[in-house]
Amino acid sequence: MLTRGTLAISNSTENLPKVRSFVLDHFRKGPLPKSEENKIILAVDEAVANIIEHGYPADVRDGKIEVEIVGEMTRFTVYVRDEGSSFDPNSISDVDIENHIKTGKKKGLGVFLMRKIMDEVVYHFEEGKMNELKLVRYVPEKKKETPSGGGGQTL
Amino acid sequence: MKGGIVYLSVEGFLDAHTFEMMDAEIQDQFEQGNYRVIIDLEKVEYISSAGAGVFIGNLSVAQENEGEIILIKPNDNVKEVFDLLGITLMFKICYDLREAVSAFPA
Repeated sequence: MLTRGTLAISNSTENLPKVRSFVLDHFRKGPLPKSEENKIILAVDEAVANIIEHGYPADVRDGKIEVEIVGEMTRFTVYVRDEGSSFDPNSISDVDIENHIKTGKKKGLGVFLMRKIMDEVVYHFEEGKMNELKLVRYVPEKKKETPSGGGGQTL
Repeated sequence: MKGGIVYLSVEGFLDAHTFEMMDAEIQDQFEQGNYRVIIDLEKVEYISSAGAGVFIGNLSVAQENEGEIILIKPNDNVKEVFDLLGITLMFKICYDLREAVSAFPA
């Protein structure tokens, strides 16, 4: 285990910078290359922003959201848990961005980004208790080197 | 030609917490008849889909009114989000104000 931590916030978009900072701290202790940093922060930000917007009724100010990060040698896993309405992001179809532009649609892009960035987006819920979204990004495999002058055969 | 060219400089984060302010500013310009808008992103450290959605959702209104939304100087992280969303080729993205001014439709 390289890094592990949990952040608890209430359902306000004011807390998004806190979430991003928490992800950044653990990302830097985790296994992924720097080139993944902005994307992972974005994917988690989108997951939490979705819960803030859709998970709890507008008048609920103390809705709980928990972000747990587990950074291992081979993968970086983020669990986002809440007690609001259940919503499976995998039920949303992919976005047609040209149509978004044509129709002037401004929302509905977060799930698309989350799925594009992460290797696994797994949703689990216990009715009336808890929703859990598991986001996994695996460490990219290093390319195997081709032996010099070896005719391009891969070992 | 409707309106002049409007230059908006943005700073900080364009996320689910702040996107409404950006949207309101663009709407305000449209209401004044200004559809040629340059948005300077040089000081934007981070953008999420909510922020990018403001540009995506307003682009066609600008274009239908002989205008354009031109984005200038996005940093690498902001540009990466545009690439992920697949909007890089749908917007005019410039790295210089003079280039942006001359990029509007004649």
